[in-house]
Amino acid sequence: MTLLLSIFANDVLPIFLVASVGYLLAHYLKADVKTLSRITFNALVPCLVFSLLVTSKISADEFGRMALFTAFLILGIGLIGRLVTLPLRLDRAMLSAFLIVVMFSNGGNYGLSVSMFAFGQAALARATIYYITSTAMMYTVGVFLANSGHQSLREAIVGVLKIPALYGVLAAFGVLLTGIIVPPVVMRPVQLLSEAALPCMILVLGMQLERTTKVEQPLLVGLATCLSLVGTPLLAWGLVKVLGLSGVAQQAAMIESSMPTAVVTTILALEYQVAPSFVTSTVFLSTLLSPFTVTLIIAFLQR
Amino acid sequence: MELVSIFANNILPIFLVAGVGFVLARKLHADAMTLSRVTLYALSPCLVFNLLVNAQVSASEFGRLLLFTLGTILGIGAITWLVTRALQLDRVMVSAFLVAVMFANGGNYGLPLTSFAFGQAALTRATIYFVISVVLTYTLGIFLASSGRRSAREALSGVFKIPSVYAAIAAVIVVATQVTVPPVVMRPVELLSNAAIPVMLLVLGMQLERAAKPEKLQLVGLAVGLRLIVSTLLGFVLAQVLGLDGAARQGGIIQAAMPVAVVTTILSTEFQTEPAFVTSVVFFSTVLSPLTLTPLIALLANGR
Repeated sequence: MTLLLSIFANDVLPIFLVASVGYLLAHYLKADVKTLSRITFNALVPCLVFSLLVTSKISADEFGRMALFTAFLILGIGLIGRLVTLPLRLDRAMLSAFLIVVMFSNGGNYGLSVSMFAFGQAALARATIYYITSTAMMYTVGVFLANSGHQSLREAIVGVLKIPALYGVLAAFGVLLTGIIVPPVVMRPVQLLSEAALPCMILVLGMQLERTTKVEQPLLVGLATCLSLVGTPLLAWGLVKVLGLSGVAQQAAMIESSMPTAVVTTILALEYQVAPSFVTSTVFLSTLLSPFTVTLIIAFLQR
Repeated sequence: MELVSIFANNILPIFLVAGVGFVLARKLHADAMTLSRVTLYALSPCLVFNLLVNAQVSASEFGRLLLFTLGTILGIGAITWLVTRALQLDRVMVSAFLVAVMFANGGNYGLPLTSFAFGQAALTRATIYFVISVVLTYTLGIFLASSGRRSAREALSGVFKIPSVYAAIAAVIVVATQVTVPPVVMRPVELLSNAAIPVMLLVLGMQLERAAKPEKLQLVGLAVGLRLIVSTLLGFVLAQVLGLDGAARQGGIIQAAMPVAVVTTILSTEFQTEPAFVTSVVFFSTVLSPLTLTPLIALLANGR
């Protein structure tokens, strides 16, 4: 019990405290979440991804298995979500919304921070691979689902090319493949900006939660939350065994899979009008309940 | 050659990050107000608390740094006042001049530069300078910017609106009582403190994006010269007099040599004390600062 309490207090609570600072900034000082999230995702996160991938020694093989893990996990839990909802006879928009909230978890601002706090820098570097892969899937499969099955190949490619973090990955690949040593004049600004990435992401999370409202359709929201917080980690545990992920890669993979629904899904739901209030409610409830499951999973991984 | 590498490794990275802020403000219409509020109310206080709590500074060194900070700021103020008397400037212009010359950019520019050039120990000393100068900016600075229209009491009450001042008080209490801050408090504080310097630099770039066209070029040049050259020399003299050495000398003199603080444009705009002039001084002193700071770092690094 004391172990669980100390995991909660040291690895999970700090994130919620920083997020509440974001909440307060948005609530009392009218700080604009759009500005901060634009800066974070356009400037800070690409720098974080670049500096993590360049400095951590991840083999191409491990990179590939981590990306595969992410893809299988997201498609797998999507399939389970579809099967579970078969008897409920949801309409098309509701079904899309349900699949989106179950499939896309908060691997960015929340997952990266927990990985860092609980398991350190090496786990954080692996977690970024999950984050990148899931973001790419969000802009392809996610948009495909939200747009009720309409998405051309061209739109999908354009969507992926718009992810700023992707360029951090490509630049890091370039450096790693050519064996160039990045001079301090480039590496220092990149590292400086990357240091701000995690705290700003968590502030953004808090600011975004400030705008969520009460929970609607509690039964469906509860089912989606369960799948997201309990179903996904169980499926992930099977997948890490199959793909042979171990050590920090396993820790990062499990942490990322245990995350609540991504806040970006609310934007997707609003844009394509697929049950936005249901999606917002699920983001809210799953984030609020996540400390319980995440603490348990960290304890399980640390044992 | 040494100068080129000092410039490339210590100063250019700061300008590149500020450049990112500039581009974000221009291309994405990112709003400097939100970011500067987040910095003022959340990031900066955490940075101040974190650095002061972890600072290994003796009471005597702290006292000498306090005197050094007051001495450089009030000293350059006195010199500037004499210069403005000689030029027979009007009352509002004198206020603007004093505000633009006295208050240096110890936060978003001074702190990362000290950290890059001289490391953690000098950064701690530079932070002490920064906190004291922030308190002066929000008392004396506001008093001067309002050209004496505000009472001393009103100016003093302004200090208690600065979150960083509370953070400094909290840090002093923690250090004095030797309490160990638990990780559940220290971790969020460290996390937010990590974001402070990079975000401050982005804000600097965003604010420079809005800089206006230069006005009164000769006066601007004079103010820039006082800020970048005379204040630096004053720093050397005072460091000698007060017997500052090592990291305290490096951190202190770097801070005394910084260009004009961006916050002075906010003060002068608020109180209508020649905002166009003050903004020009901020812009030119910042852009020209690599020319004075590069040789200064070379000098201080060699221990001279």
